[in-house]
Amino acid sequence: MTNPQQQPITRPGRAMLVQLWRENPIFRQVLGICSALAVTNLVFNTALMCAGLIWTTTMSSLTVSLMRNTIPRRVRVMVQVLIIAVYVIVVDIVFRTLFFETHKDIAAYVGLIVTNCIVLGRLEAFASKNRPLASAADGLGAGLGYSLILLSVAAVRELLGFGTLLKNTAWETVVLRGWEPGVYETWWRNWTIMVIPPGAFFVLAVAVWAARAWSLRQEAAAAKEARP
Amino acid sequence: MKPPVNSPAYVLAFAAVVATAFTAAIMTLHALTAPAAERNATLYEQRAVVEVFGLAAGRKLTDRQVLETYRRRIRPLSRRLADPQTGAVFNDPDGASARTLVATTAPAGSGRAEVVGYAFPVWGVGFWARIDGYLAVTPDLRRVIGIVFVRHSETPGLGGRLTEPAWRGRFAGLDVSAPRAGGKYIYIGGERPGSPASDRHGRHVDAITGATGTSAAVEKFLNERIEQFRRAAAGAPGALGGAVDE
Repeated sequence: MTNPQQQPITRPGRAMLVQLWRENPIFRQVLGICSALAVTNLVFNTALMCAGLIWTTTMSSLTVSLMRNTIPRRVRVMVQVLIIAVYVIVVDIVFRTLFFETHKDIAAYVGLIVTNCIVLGRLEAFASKNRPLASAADGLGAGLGYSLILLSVAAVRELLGFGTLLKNTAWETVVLRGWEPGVYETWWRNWTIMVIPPGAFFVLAVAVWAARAWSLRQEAAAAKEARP
Repeated sequence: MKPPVNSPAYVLAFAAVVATAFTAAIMTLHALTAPAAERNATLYEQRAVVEVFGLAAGRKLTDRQVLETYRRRIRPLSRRLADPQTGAVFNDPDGASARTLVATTAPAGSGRAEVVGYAFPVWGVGFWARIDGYLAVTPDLRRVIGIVFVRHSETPGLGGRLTEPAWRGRFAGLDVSAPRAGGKYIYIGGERPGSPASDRHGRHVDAITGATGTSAAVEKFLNERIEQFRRAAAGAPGALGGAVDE
């Protein structure tokens, strides 16, 4: 009897779903959380960062998969990093052109997508051995899985840290009006710790704990059903 | 037939081709978007200047309105300001484009253009890295019209709040005439002025919550720049003559 988890995943839809949830890069593989700490204090900045990562994982997986039979083994990591860097520079150029002001805030972190472990991890583990469509879906799933957790973390941090949602955008909503001496006196005080990177440690830890607890419970239930 | 992917010649040729192709693609994209990026940078800077002079009157101007307002009402000061003692040129800190700007009530050359104020570059080391901005003062150099920061690397949400209108707005109307001996032009943070007799009266702004380092850094370089600007202006009589020198 073969373990279903050890079968190669070749169907695009399945590859995507596995990355999105069962092998989620953030809460199962705990990869790429460096950027999670820095950019997740505002939802809009996080959304741009996530879009950049989704684009990079999808396109670099597709490219590496298309080139997988021509890339020499000895230089494969160099070539993979080159491909990742190209797509990250595209993201940087597009953000600079379309979102000039937000780009000023997140430019440093966009550049760091090149070294994000999720991207290189998917290229090495999947795209370099699988067909283009499945690889692109795998990359897309990893990017979406990352975004799912990061946006949740960002929503909590922005709400508690600034009292707002989608700050600095046309859809900015003040949910909790923060106390400001002499300006607005209310019961709510914004939590400074949520704004600074250490705040992400706490929120991310809670998010990882909650997601793991839930998915582990589901898996246990599924295993019980399979073996009556 | 599969290519001999591990022969040294193949590896070299592959690396050369891949690097050239990808680099060419990136360079093309960069070249195509360069004009838009430059336009964004100019617009950003001009929007900041229009805002620092209060010409937007609190409204969010469209890109076209910003360019039009800037073109009609802002121009660089035609004289270079230099410190009378050291000879250091004030309004050209990097030997680049940061210069003292003049805002007028009407387009220059229309006969009735009166000076609304002067904006000069303010810059210094912040908590992490250099901060750049403009401070606008009234023609008599006694009051602040506004302040704006165009480049900084402060922590988003903490020191980074120095760009927020809520904080910057508190500078409007501050007294920047010569302080008493031992006093400063502007105080950021620390105790609030208790009485009109205080050195801090009319010169105090609350620090940014949780960003004492940034607040102290801004206070330090603002006082330095205001002092330099006033010395340079005093050393060039007529350069800031109230009316625009054509």
